[in-house]
Amino acid sequence: MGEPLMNFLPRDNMPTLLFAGQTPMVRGDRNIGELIYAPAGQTRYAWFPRMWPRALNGTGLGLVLKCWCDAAGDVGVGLAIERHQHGVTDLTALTNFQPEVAATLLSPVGGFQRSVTWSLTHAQTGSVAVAETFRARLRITANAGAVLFMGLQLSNGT
Amino acid sequence: MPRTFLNRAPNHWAKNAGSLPSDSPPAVELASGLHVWVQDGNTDFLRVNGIMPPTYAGEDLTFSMVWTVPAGVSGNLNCGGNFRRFIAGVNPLLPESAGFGPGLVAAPTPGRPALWTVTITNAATAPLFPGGLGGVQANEQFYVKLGRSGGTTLTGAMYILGLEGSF
Repeated sequence: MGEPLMNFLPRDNMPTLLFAGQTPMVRGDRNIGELIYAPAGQTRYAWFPRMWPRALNGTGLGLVLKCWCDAAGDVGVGLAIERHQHGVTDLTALTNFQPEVAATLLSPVGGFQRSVTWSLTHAQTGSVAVAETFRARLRITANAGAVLFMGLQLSNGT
Repeated sequence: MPRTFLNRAPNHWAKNAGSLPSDSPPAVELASGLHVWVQDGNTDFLRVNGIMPPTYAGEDLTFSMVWTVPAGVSGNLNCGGNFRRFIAGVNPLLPESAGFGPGLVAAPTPGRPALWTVTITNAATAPLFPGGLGGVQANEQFYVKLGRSGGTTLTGAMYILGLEGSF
């Protein structure tokens, strides 16, 4: 069962440029609160750090992304997890993201909210354990219009 | 199965430094891009507020903190905490609980994360509730405050990377 465990909202984003070629999303406001977005034709990233909940059993991870799109055509999105293992990971030199799991946000009609769902295996998270910190890295590759990020939900199981 | 009711990362406050509570340590960014809460002494605290979930039925609470230290920092940490229950319509507010903590733990290798965990029973001993949560109930507001207690021998700052509360 996919019990919701936490939500990542636009203001939770850590807008830091970490790696070459990974440009943060743009911050903005469209009368619906603080938001972040990828401009038309560009690829942008967002990073969400948090603790891995004790309720996560590690057998699977469901993630639902909600976006508000002005784009015409499909939008490319991707998600990667970085594990911070106790006593092992060097937090001062982080390049530990697992391979990105790509997905597609299907043909949004201008102004309408769309969602996309991932089902990550435990291995695709780097086998992160409960009570460890981690980061989720979200990529949005916009098409012919801006893609506004609305939220990301993490749930237990797929 | 444990249920999470509180899960915070330093970046929640990093962009709102002007409105930080006076006893919340500042959040800064490491060279790697990670944000951390910096407690650089024994007088500042990390305080986070929350509301107990509707499903809470008096269980003990477990708080888990991930922390590390900067390069060159060693020693022991005696992390202490206080819990405060807010009862709707009750004035004055209950005081903070007596301090709790698991005792001295050695600092990890600088830059490597380590886990600090404490479980607190929900024994009600009003108005002060040493060792307990004051009988906090579902849907009530609370805050939990963490900081260094006596006996800490850290030679510099400590970094807090995340805090989870569960029951």
